[in-house]
Amino acid sequence: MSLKLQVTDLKKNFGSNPVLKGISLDVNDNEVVVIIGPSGSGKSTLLRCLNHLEVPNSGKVVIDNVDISDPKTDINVVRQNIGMVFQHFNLFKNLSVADNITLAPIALKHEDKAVATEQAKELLTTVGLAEKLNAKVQSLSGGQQQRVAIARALAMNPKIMLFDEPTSALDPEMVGDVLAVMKDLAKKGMTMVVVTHEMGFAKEVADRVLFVDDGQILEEGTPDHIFEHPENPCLKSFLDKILNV
Amino acid sequence: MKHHKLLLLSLITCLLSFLTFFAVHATPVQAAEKTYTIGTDVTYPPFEFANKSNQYIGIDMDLMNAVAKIEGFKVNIKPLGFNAAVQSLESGQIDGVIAGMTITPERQAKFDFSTPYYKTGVIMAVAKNSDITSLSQLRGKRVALKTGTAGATYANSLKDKYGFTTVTFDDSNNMYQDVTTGNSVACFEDQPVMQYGIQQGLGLKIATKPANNGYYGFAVKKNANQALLKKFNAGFKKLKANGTYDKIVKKYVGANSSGETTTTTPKTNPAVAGKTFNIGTDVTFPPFEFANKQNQYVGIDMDLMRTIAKEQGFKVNIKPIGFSAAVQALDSGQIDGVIAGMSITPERRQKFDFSTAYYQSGVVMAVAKKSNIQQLTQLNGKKVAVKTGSVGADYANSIKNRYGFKVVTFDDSDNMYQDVVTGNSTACFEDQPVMQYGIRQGTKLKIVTKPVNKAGYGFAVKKGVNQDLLAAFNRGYQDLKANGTYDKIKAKYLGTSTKASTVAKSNQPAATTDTESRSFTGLIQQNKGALWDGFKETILLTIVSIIFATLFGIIVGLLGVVPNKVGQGISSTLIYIFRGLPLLVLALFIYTGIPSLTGQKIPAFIAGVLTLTFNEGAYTAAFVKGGIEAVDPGQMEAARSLGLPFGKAMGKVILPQGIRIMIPSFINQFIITLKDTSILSVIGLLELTQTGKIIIARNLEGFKIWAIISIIYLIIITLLTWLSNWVQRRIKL
Ligand SMILES: Nc1ncnc2c1ncn2[C@@H]1O[C@H](COP(=O)(O)OP(=O)(O)OP(=O)(O)O)[C@@H](O)[C@H]1O
Ligand SMILES: [Mg+2]
Repeated sequence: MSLKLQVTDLKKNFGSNPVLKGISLDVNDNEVVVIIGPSGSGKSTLLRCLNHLEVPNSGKVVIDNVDISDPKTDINVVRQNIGMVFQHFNLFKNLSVADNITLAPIALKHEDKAVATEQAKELLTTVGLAEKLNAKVQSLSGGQQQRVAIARALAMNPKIMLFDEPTSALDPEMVGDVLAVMKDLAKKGMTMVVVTHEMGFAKEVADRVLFVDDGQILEEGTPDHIFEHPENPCLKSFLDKILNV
Repeated sequence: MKHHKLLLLSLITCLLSFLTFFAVHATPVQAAEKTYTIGTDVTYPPFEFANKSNQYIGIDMDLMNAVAKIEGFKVNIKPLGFNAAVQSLESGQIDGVIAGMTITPERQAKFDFSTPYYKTGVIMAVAKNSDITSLSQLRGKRVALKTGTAGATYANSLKDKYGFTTVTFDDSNNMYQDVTTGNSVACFEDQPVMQYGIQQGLGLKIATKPANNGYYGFAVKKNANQALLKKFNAGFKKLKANGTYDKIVKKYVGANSSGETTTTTPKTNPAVAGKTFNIGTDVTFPPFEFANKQNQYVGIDMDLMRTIAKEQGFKVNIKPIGFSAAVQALDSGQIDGVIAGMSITPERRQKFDFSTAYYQSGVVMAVAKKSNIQQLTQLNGKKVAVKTGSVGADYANSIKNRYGFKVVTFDDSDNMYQDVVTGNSTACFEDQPVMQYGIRQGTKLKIVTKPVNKAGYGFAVKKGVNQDLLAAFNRGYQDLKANGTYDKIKAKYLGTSTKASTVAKSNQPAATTDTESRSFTGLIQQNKGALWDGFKETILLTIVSIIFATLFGIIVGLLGVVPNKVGQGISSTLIYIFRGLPLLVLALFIYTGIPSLTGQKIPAFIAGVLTLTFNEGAYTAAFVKGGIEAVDPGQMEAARSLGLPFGKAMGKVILPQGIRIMIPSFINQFIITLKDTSILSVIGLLELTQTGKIIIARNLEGFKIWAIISIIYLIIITLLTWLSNWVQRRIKL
């Protein structure tokens, strides 16, 4: 088992507001880590620090043995290896589904357009949208858009995937499709860090669950440990709240 | 990106260095030993005056330099003007004064004088062909004098005894001309000055022996600089002894007092021959300058200028850019001279050197034909129209508090007249000949007051610059006066003397004669050449400006969204400055402000394009920046998370979406740019609006011409909108 991601004492402030107060975390190859925690606890910020969409104030992030905090590291190259999926999909509105998926491979890996499009077709098939290759982004439902977004991220062959509440902007009947794609991905051995409130997904897929509150990891363990035998009182009240809705 | 940043950085640097230039611009102080600063008059030939190469020469100058050389010191000549020189000497700012200064008891109380170096006296001069040889022949005649001279004092003391009347002029040339034309039979003047004038080709002769003799001396402050005074006296003695002094005097006033020397004025003037000068004038100031039916500039000023140019062998390039623009352009060195019915005033003399006054004018008040206003006292509480920068405006402003009226200012005479005709204003103040001419051409106004604030019109060059041109003008004018051409030109526009003769009428550049058709088609037919040229200029100006403004705007706008504080700062600063400056101010600043600082002329077209580039470009930058910022930030994050660098993400994802947001603003901005070209008429660009002004100045068909011009603008705007829509569809955004 090799280390895929190593976070050491990560700190991030927005102005005088400390959002991450020293996070340390190791993620192994093929591991699926789920992060849960109340709103505003810093989950998204943590995820965004992992690919420098937010630059942390201190601490170290090493991905695939590359220290991304090192100023000599070319962040654009590192990001090619980290797929990210956003809550609001963020598909490129000026481009078709195919162009959304092929943009980065063509622009960054100088792939041939035909080759890239072929790969896009395959990816779309795996997310169940083979027929949408030439569709306009606006014509897709939320669930379809999110699956295209996953396909777009996968097109760069990332070594790790980050998901920031990928299903929370979706209508309930579409959540299943997206989760199915993610489960599939996990089964194929993708290393994943997932922020989600889908406890079912966490229980089924996660190797490890982290509970983050107020910028710190308060408890971590197997899904069984976190959901069935929580110790931290904050975690207990958090679980009470979401499970009793 | 880097490249653009550099470009903008250098632009900012330029701007800043302009500002620092203001701050640190100081005259270098030269401190050499044994150098005396000597004040003198600005121009008092033959004693001191600037020659063609702008060096001060004359009897005083040569004498001073010769003394300095022989006594081994250095002098720094400062042509401060007589009064200023005397005051500077008194306050110890300068070491001495040599300025044809007569030694008087009053002056001796404050100054120590050298040995008298020149004996002068007042003489009487008459026309060359005159048979007057003595004072007794002056009975019942008129004599010309110059204000404040020894000659005037002398003549006034004699006039009762000899029974002559006097007429007073403000400068020597006018006085001389009054005698050459025969209005006066004689004039009184200092002998050397007269002698020099005759040597320079004045058609006069000296008729009497010098009277009221006086002596010129070199002066230092009382009890100060005695060493310098001693040196002067010693040097002068030596120069007298070795003959240098006589040579100097002979050089300027000839061998004897007869004034008959062999110097003849060459037909063309070598100093200016073959050169081309840019002469600014008003857009319309009839009868001095206005466009005729063929849209050529004619009028007294124009004919005079062209004739003189021809005689003296130089070329002129007439630029009808409007009075105030011309004055500013002259001040900033963009043009070489201005002839625009410009009164010679002390304020203007500070900045310009004027020719001999070629026309005498005065300010009159005119009111609507049916008005019963007769005098200034009736103006209380009323509005009065004036034209920017005119003598009439100065006069009106000087008396508005006394008579309790309000002043409304217009940029040209026609708008001013119309304001009175329509009754918005009760009266206007205008130069007499202009008003007379306008009324004769059908302007529905009448003159109700006598001319006041009489002043001479002069041709102007920038102070200390283009002295050759000035000299050529003066000489040419002298010739035209002498051979009668001048009177012919005047008669052509104003009729002979007071009554409008039939001859003059037939020669008039018809303004209201009915040979011109006044229908829309007729007007378009007559002016199609001018309108077409204006149209082309407007289109060219618009297209070139749109291209540069768009480039400038996109660069500055993009600079505003790069993740770099310096870039963003530069961008916001540029937008702030150029969006904040009124277009008119920016145009004048670039066209007249910058050249007066750098001495580098900027052609009007380029100044116009720069103005629009900066102004419209700033607006463009603002909406480019806004358009980019209006794109969902998630788009940029998604692109960056895939590993796309900023530039690629911007180019492939953000800009295509931003441009769609910007398109309506772009089209809007193109239309605004087109309309804003009209403002550039202030710097004299002959685009549509300026063309309209000029045509209306001639035919007074304001409604119809402005209607035609408006329709042309609307047509261009329609075409521009179509073009933009077509382009928009073509690039399928
Ligand atoms: N760009 C920003 N500037 C300032 N404050 C920010 C910024 N982004 C996040 N924050 C603040 O940081 C804190 C953590 O935000 P974050 O989005 O990481 O929370 P979260 O755990 O993802 O919450 P949620 O479950 O609502 O998505 C919040 O208080 C938020 O207001
Ligand atoms: Mg979040």
